Amino acid sequence: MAKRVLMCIVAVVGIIALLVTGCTGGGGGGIPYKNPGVFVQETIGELDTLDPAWAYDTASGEQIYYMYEGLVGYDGNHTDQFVGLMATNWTIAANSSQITFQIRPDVRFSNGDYMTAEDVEYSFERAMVLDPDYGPVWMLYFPLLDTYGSRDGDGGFVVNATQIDNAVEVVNNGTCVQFNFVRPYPMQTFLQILCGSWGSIVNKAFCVAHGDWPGSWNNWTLYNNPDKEDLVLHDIACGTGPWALEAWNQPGEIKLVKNQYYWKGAETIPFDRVVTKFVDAWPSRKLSLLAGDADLVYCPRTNIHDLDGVADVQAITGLPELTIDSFYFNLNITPDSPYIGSGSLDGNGIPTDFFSDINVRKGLTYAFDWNTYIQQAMQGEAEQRGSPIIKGLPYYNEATPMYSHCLTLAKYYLENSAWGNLSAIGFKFTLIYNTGNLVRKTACEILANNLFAISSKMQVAVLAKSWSSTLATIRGRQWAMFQIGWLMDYADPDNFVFPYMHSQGLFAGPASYHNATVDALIEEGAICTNTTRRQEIYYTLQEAWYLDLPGIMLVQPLGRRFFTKYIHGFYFNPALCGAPGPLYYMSKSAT
Amino acid sequence: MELRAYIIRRLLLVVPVLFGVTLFIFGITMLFSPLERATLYVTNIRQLTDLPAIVEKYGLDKPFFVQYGTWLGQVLRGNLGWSQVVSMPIAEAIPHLLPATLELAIFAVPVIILVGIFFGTKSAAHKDKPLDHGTRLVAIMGWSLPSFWLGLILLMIFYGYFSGLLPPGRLSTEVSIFVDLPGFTRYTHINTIDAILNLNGRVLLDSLRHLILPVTTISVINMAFIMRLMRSSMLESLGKGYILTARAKGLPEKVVVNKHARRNALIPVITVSGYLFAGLASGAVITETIFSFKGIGWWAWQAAIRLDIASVLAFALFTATLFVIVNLIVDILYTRIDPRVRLGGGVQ
Amino acid sequence: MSEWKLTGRQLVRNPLSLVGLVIIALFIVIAIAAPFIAPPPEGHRDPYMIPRDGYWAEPQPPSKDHIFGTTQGQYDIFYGVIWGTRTAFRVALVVISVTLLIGIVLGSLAGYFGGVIDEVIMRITDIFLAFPSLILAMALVSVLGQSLRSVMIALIIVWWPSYARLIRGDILQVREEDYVEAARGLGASSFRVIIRHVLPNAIYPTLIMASLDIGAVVLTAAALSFLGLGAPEGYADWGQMTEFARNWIVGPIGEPLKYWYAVLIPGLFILFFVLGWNLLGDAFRDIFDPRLARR
Repeated sequence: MAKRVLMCIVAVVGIIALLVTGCTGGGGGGIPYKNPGVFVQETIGELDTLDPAWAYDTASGEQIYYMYEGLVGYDGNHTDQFVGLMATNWTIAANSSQITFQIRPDVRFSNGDYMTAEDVEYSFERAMVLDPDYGPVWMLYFPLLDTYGSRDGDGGFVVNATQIDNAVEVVNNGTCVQFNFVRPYPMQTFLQILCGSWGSIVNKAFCVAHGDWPGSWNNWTLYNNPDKEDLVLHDIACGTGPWALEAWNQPGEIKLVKNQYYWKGAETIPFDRVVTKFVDAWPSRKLSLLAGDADLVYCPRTNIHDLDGVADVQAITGLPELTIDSFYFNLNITPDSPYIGSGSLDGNGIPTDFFSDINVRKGLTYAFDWNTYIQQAMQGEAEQRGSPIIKGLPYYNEATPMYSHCLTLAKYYLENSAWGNLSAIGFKFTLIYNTGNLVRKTACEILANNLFAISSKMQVAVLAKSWSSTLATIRGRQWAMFQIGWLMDYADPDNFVFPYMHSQGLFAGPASYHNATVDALIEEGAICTNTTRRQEIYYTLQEAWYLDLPGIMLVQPLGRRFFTKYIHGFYFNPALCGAPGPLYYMSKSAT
Repeated sequence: MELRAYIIRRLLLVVPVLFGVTLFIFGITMLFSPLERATLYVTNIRQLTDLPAIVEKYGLDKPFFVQYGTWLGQVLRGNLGWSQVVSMPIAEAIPHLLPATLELAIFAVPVIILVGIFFGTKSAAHKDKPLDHGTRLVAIMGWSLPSFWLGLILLMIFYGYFSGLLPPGRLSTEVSIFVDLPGFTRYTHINTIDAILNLNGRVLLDSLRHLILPVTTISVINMAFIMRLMRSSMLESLGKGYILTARAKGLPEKVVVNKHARRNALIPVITVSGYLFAGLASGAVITETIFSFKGIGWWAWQAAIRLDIASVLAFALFTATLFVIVNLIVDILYTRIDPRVRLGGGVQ
Repeated sequence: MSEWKLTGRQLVRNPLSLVGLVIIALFIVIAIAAPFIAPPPEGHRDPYMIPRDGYWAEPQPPSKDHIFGTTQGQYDIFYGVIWGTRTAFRVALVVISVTLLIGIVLGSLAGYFGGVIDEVIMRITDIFLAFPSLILAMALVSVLGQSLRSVMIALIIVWWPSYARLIRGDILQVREEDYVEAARGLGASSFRVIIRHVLPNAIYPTLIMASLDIGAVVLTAAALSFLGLGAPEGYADWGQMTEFARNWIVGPIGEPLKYWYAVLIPGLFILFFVLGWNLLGDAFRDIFDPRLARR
């Protein structure tokens, strides 16, 4: 008995000791200043890869942005003005089909090697040689070689070594790198493309030493379209950026350490370490912020008011992200779709071309209530947009007409549709949203409830599907209407209108939206070098959306950042990957 | 039956089980359309148009046995495939994720067994008295708790209310930076063991602090089972003849219970603890998820819902092998402990 | 039938099982009376989808309009837990009864006929049992698409092997009994022997396990819903409602337990429901355990 009691006492004392040593004294009294010289952010998601030629998601893009640099970067918070990084200046040929960059001397990679024009040439040629399936390299191929990649749909090659070799050349005695385009291309757009993670300059010697493409052209096809297992730069890195890779502890954490050889001077780097942790649970992230263990955390939209008025939390709000969310109508649904009810207009379903009638689309659009959606589902932090070209993009036209919520008009159009009086006939279909996304679910419910209010015969069901299932359904053209968002690759209107309005676009394609005039305008605008003409084109396209109404444009969300008060220097550039953004220009101090 | 032959025979039996399990899993995943299975490789919505190309590249539309055969061929060559979920080869992923799960198992099993034995014995010794009812009620309540809910409540109190006292995750930020530096050698990637081997008290305390809540959650849920087993086993043992003899000899009740009855009652509990360990080592999905203790369980869950089929299959191989080995060890131990039991035969 | 009466009396005498019985009775009443206790609002289409009072994100505390408060997205918690009782019963009863059926059929075949049939069926159960059941259930729900029906099917597929094994074991025991020999000797067909003689005597342990398993089924279904693999958002399901509370377990500074109702209440319902069945099952075990002396 005594022994047992003794054991219990020892255990209790032990636990108390543990807790006392571990207790960091949180609770009232502001956020403690911890980890000086270390920037810690907690966010959701996961890293895909660190290879600039493969990475196409924002988490990977962000880490690459810290470790590598491209020829140019965005100037401050502008998305259309640039500063030279690996390049000191550049000249554009008069015919706009050549651009020459003067390479900055005395730049060193994180392992001490000097960066030369060869490395620059190698970086771009490597990307084009590797050209992984469904990767970002199409953004180099399209401007330079007017194709969407090195291979066609059947895996056959559409380019040869000479073409790639000639696209990027070292000139002027090794001091410059020149890009040669097969036809004139708007260089402003190309410069934007170069700012992305796929434009990163890699260390040729480092890559070759680790078994990457050696830079020669015999057998280059062997390196084309590698498997991830064979991707050399997948989990190692050697760049010229302010930080270098210290450790990538899959899953959940990546640590970067200061690059001693940074060309602007290692002493200018504000953080010795950059730690990114992937933590799925918001309460954990919140408490990390409040305990000072994290300097920046990602907050889901539902909880943005959790930190209102909290001392020492720096909430930066109203950031116009370059992203848009919308409904899209499927004009030609596959007949075997489970989402169209009976498949005909007998009150229990819809026919496969239901949405091809403009009045149906107008009716449904007027039935959507943007105000409720913005106020309640988006917590007030979004703005309605009338077309895929959003605020912050060049050639955004604020004067483009937009639809607004009006049940009377909705009722009018639905009752005067090509199918007849839909209030009387009735219809039934299913809206799908990807599971876990309450905001999207709410949008579906708003639409469904408003339609039901017009007539109880308009029955729209709302169904949750897994993300993979949603994607497959979109690809298989089975959906009636889906909700999807678009995040920019580069800040040009072409990047937004193509997926939304070109008949081969990502969304318009599966929806069977096809307007030949629109297609022609988009194709012209993509390579047009005359800014006046471009403005004309994109203004017309914005109006075309209003007239054709392929989908219900929802909102451009306004973003937020939650920092502790110890982080200074943040400014918002929507084109930068990752929440912290311009980390090199920020700092952390106790005052 | 000779021990070595028995072991070999049992280990050989793994093979058909492995075949069966993997065929079954493969069969399930084949119920997905090739397009859906291709979405695993999509990290970016732009890749939507490339789904058919992905199907081509990975041969997702080939017949069932062709795909299974390809996978099997790779496995026999030692290539378990690539895990999209953690972006690394599976052969590296499993040893990478296992330490977290093992750490939970190593701490939870002793707690469960010891507490279960203690209360099970007490309960049996005072059968049908208030102590018995009370203990059983508490144990059954533990068994009835949804693990995710218990986890959330514990976090709510010890992390929320007591502001960061017992946090989720495996290590705090400062310590996690420290352990990756050259000054700390990683032997097993199990934080507590590594801390001991490095003679580092700070890391040890920090990792223990992070273990308290998940281990408590797992233990509370599983304790009832052991307690009940111990109780009924003790009751059976207490009803045996030799106990009567011991009592007749005038031995104190405490000695009768603790020394004689308990030793025999422990036998089934020991065998069960083997299964318990195997079960925990295959990952407590919910606990790992709620407490950010990403181990094998978390990985298997992600793989299951994201259709990372290669990972699910590898996980199946891992757990099936684990269970067979544990079964084998338990059976052999059983023969050592209980002389009535023969290898390969039933109880005498 | 006096066997059952004796059992019943023992159940009532044992305080723990009495508590269990009372809890279960309460839940049965709630389930039956759900449309009266928590009537769906006018024009509400599916009573199992919890009505939303607006689209705001933040959960609201208990009030006159919402006795238990609202979850994230303004789903009424009271409505959800009341109708969730029906969901729980539905899932539990469907899964257990179908599992029992499959288990009985396959287990009987294996146990009674032995030989090749036995081997095959036992190997198949081996395969199912070698894989952690929760992960298997998750994979199955992924395949079948997220819905309560998928959860039920997945749980049935995962659960039947244990029952088949159990029945087989019992039948193996009973098969050698004298009265079975006698029946066979009299020329009764195998089928008749199984149904009339073997099963009724082998069934008790199975029923015990079934009653205990009702709790386990509900727990697993709740876990699946919690992980986003079960009932869709907004469905009256306890697990799903707990998932809604996930982002709100820590409230604002100074009020860390502000959203206690969103976390606590659905979980309490799960706890008590499962507790009731577990207490009952535990008492059953005590009663039917042949190794313990009966009073």
